[in-house]
Amino acid sequence: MKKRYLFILALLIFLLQTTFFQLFRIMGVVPNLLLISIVISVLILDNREGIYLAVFFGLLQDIFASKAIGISILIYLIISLVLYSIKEVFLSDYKLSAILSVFISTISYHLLYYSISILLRDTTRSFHYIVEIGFLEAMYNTVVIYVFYGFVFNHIKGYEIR
Amino acid sequence: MNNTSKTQKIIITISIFLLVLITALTYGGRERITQFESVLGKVLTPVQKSFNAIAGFADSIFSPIFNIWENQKLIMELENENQVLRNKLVDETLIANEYGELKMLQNVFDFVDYEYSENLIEARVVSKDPGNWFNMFSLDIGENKGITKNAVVLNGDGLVGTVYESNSEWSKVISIIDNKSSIGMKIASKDRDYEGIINGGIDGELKGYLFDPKAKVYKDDLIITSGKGLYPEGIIIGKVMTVEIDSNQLLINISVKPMVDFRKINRVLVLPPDKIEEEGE
Repeated sequence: MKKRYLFILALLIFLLQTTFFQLFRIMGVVPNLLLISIVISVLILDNREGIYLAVFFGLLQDIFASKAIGISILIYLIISLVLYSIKEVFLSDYKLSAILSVFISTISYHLLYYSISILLRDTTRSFHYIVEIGFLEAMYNTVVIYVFYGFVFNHIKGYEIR
Repeated sequence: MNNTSKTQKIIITISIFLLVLITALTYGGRERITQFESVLGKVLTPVQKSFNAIAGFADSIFSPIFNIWENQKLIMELENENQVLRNKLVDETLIANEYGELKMLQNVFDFVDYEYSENLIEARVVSKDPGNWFNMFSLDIGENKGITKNAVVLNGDGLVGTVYESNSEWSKVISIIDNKSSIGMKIASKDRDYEGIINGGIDGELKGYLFDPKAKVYKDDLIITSGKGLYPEGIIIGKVMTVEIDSNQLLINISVKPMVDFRKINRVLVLPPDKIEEEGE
């Protein structure tokens, strides 16, 4: 995918996530389109676009809604790098791979955020809350990727997903 | 091949180290944000504002349909509460004729002293936290309207938070539940003049204590700002949820549920910090 299109698409996803998608909160939780996009791009795209996306989304999230610059970039970067390193294990043309990847990534995102908050001595959430919110968001993200992964995969790869 | 892999590993390690360093350096809110962030905000804020306006419009149409049962319940609760408040207001007005008491009532029900209300600046929320961690959001005004770090943010329900970082065109707000800095508070009652300190606790609640170990505080008591510290006097914070007596430290610990629904904020009022200081003097 051309970097120019990826940049415009990423910007649009970020704008939707911070505005329109706030309407889709269920039990106070909103699906994380940024994380879902990173997972999809790691699994489907070949030229490390997932890492660029991780840095770009992380930077925007840190600038507009974070207590420090670097936290979200670091978390998204770690997730994308780990996903790249185990990409061969997760076969991208299976929907189950995408579902598992997004579920584990979401839980990891919250655990990493919690760990960094503890290191910064800025914990305003309990571990129980993290598990609860993380699990809800993971379920929510799983549903979103289940619905859209096949469509995106087919559009980019040009053949049906298994 | 091995060399490429080794170089990549070095780059990744250095990047992670740099990110940790930047996080540590920028944590806590900066007085001024960088030119890059400023320009980015300047470009994205109008777009986010338009997106949010459309989202707000859609919400106003679809929300009553999706929340029809909840709304019905809420209307009944509000009607009951309104009845109680009206009776209370009549009783209070009949009993209390003195100016001081009326001013106290005004503080409780209007929650901003009239001196401050002249300096309030209206702002629109342009974007909200993309994740589910913080109740942080950005506003469409910044230093161009005198909004700097620590400006007080409130809405129709009560105290929302403070400005965390600001630039010429926009600013970033952190809610009171995500902020660990202390808020001077008191109980909104003319008979019980007890003050204390409260700050962001765990999982959306505020935790604090009262200075007087013999203070009489009950569940559902309304808590307002005391005027000591950053916030002007009389802004509603929330309702007391639990009261615990700490006999070891001779303190009364309380937990407070904020009145504001932080996820449903579209418009707010901002009080610049210099105006608070001016009025305070």
